[in-house]
Amino acid sequence: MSRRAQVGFEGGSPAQFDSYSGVTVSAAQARTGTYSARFDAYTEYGLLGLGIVGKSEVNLRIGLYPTAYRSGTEDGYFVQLFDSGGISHLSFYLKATDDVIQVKRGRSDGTWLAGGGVVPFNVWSCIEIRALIADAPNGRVVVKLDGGTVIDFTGDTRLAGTAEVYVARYGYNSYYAGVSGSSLFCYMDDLAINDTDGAVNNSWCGRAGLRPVIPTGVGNASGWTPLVGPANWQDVDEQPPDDVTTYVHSDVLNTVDTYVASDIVPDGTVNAVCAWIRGQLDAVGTGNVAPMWRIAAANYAGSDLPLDASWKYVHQIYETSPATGVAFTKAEINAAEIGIKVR
Amino acid sequence: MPDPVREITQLLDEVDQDAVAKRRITQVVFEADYNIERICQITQLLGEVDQDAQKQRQVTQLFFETDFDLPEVPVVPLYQPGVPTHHRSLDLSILLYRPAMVP
Repeated sequence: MSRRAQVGFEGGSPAQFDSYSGVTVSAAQARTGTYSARFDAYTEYGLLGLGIVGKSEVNLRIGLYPTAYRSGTEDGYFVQLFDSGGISHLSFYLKATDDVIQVKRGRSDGTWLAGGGVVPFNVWSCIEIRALIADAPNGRVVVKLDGGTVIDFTGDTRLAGTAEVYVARYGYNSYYAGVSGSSLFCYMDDLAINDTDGAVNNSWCGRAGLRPVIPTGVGNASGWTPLVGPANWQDVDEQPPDDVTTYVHSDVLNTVDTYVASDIVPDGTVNAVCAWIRGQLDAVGTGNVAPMWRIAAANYAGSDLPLDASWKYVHQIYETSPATGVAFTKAEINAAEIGIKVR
Repeated sequence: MPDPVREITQLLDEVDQDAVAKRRITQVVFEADYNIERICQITQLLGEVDQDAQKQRQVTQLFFETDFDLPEVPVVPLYQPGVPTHHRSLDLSILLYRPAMVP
């Protein structure tokens, strides 16, 4: 697997982060789709992890819409890369005096490494970061701004600890001391992280955007029971989620629902698709749910994703179509039904 | 030698408290006294634990996010042979200072 994380906040909830504090989701701005994450206080953050294994080299994409610095003199930090032990290897920020992207080794009180590229405010920019965590001379940081390289640093990118990126924290920097730096007030959208494994999505994330595919009609299977309905899809199509107000339910193993879903309009290519399910169990115990594709009249179940007794998101990233084994096409996604299966 | 009854009993304490099978297994374990038939019964019951503990799934939201890459905007050449320049948004000064682009 090489696409390790992707979030476009199209569920209308900051809970699509692996964890978060303070950050909200807003429809006031969106690089693609309807929603973006809103950071408007220096304590706010969202985390995206790489799963159970960190990687020494990662590629990040951030759709960034800066709105303000916390004060005129405080630089604006927007992402920080940690190892699994909580060591901050790299911190990225905009310099308050000239809006230029900067990178430090460590936290906001760390060692400045490089800078380049003026980021305009109140418009969307695409920032791509390639980070290879290693001691000098093998470490590397490359930053692209809207496709053009603005930083290319070679040297020491490992502060201490393990030479890996285990989690990316967007927003709040772990060292705050007034003028040393604060969080950038901004919107973020279309977050993605690739590692270097596999045959696809193993390099730059590119300037793509995350577009929603949402249930819009009755599909081939309606085995689950709607709480309100009348149709099953009408209880799972809300953005943001309404949790206990409308949902579908079942406790019968292998029961399937599939739904007709919205289409992607513009022409283009598909890098990866993430299936998002927000669900819970009705009581403490065990139970899984799996995402479903229905493509060309055949059903394809995804992985068993465990739920618990409180509402939460579970997700699965697909880098290739389960029907063809190669990259999805827009036509394939538009013709497909999406769904869920009791597991 | 570990005591299998004690070990099973301890493990059962870690199983979900409201699993019906857990209560039945616990009772059988204490009655087992290393009787092979009772041990077989325990094994069979343990196989039912997972299923017994399954709860109703409730899904309130389903959506997929597609990472979708638009094709790069094609670069329009400054000069194309045979295309009248007044049909294009063309700054003549660029042509004048880039004679290599004129055939």
